Amino acid sequence: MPNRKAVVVEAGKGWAVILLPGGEYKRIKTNRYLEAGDLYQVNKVARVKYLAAAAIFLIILLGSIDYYTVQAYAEVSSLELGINRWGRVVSVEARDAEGQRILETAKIKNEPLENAVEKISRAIKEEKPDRQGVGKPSLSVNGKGKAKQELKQKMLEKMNKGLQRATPEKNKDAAKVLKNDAESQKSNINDLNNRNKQGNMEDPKVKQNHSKTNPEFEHPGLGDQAGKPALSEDLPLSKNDLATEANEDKQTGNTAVMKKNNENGRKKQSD
Amino acid sequence: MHSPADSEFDNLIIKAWQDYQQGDKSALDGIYPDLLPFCQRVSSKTCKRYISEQDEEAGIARMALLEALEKYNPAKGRFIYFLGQVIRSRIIDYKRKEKNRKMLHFSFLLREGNRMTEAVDDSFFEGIIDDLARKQEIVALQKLLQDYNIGFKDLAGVSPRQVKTRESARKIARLIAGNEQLNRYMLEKKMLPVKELEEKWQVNRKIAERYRKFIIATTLIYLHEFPYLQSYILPVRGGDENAQ
Repeated sequence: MPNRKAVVVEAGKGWAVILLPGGEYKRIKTNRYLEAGDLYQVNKVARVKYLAAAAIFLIILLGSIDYYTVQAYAEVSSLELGINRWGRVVSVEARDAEGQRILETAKIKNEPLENAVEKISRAIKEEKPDRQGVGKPSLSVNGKGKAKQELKQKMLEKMNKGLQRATPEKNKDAAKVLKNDAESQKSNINDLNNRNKQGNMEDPKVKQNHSKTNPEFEHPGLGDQAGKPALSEDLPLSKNDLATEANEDKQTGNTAVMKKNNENGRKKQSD
Repeated sequence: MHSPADSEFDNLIIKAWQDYQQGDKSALDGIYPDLLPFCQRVSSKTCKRYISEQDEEAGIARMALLEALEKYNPAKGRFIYFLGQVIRSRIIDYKRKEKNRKMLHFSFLLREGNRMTEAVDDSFFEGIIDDLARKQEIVALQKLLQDYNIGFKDLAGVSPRQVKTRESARKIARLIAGNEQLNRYMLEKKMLPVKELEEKWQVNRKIAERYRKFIIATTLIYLHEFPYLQSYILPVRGGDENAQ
C-alpha cells in the first residue's frame, strides 16, 4: 500500500490535525514544523514499528509476571521455596535462624529446583556434618487439575535428583520417600485421567473417600531420622491440620495455599 | 501547474513590476498583500519554524522583495519563483552571518545547515503556492465551522474510522448539500435536519447523530468553492481503503 499525502488543516507545537484522502480527520503527534495547507506524508511503517514495539513489551511484561508466579511450594529443611511453572525457585522464605543462615550462604533464587535442593543440602552438611540429611522435604501445588498434578510429580522428581546429587547417603531415606511419592503421584494422575473419562470427577463420594495419597492434600515427608516414611502429626501439614484448616477456610473463604500466597506476596513487596 | 488564476496573478505582478521600474514606488501597494503570505511561507520553510511579522527574518524577506523587483527580468521565468529564490538566499546569508557572530549549537549546524543551504528548484516554490491556496480554503472552512461551534480538533475526534461508515456519512452530507430545503435548514438553524432526514430520506438516525459534526463539515465543503478540500473528501479509489 503506497503512502498517501494528507493535508494539514491545523497545527500546533508537537501536534497537527490532518485530513486524509478519503475524508478522515486525524490528530497526529509530530516534531516537524507544519502549517495549515502543508502536505503531510503519512508513514505507515512507523505505526507498524510502534505496534511491534508495544507487542514485544507486552510479551516481556506478561512473561515476567508469569515467571514470578508461584505454582508450587517446596519445603526443604526450614526453607519454603516458591517454584514457578518452569521449576525455578522464585521466592524463598526462611522459617527460622538456621534457614536464614542457609539463605546467606547458598544462592538459591532463580535456580532450578534440583540445584536449589542440592545447595541447601550441602549447606546443611557443612554447618552440621552429623545431621542426617534434610528433614521433611515436602511439596504442595496451587490449584487442581491434571496439569498441576503433573507439575507436582515433576517437581518431586527434581527434589529427589537434587538430594541425590548433594549427599546421597545421608539423604537416602528422604530421597526414597520422594521417589515413592513421585510414583504414587503418577498413579494419581492416571486415576484422574480415568475419572475424567468416566465423568465422575464431581461425585462427592469420590471426594469423601480420598485416601492418604489424594493429590490435593498429600504432603509426603520424612518422619524421623531413622528413615521411617510416615504421614503423621509430625508433618508440617498433617491430615488433621488440613481438615481443620479446610473447615476454617470455608468460614473465611481462603485456602491454606492462598494464605501462603498472601504472606509471600507481602514478603516480596516488603523486599 | 499553471492555472488561469496563476497567469492572471503573474500579469498583475508584471504590470506592477513595470510601473515600479518606471518610478512608481506605490506600484507594489496593490500586490503586496498577495505576496506577503508567500514571503512569510518561504521564510518559514527555509528556517523550519514559524516566522512572524516581528521576526528578523520577516524584515529580510521584505527587503528581498524590493531587491527582486529591482533585479527581475521576465526572461528569467515567473516572478514568484525568482522572488522565492531571492528570499531564500538572503535568509541563508543572514543565518551564516549569525553563525559567525555568535556561537550556534553544533548540532543545529549539522541538522539545519545543510538543509538550509541545499539548492531548490521551482517545484519547491510551486509547492508553497499550492500550500497557500490550500490554506486559503482551510481558513475559510475554519471560519464557517466556527458558526457551528466546530473545530478541526473536534472533527479528529468524531471522524468515522471505518470506510463504510464514512461513506454513509459523506452521502448524507451530499444529500443535504444537494437539497435546498435541507441545506437551508442547516445554514439557518446551525444544526442537522435529523428528523426530516430519517422520515423523508430513510437516513440512519444513529449515524446522523453520532457523526453530526463530521457531516456538517463535509456539507460545508460541498456547498462552497473548495476544490482542494473537495478532492480530499471523496472516497479513495482502490488499494487498502481500511487503512488508517
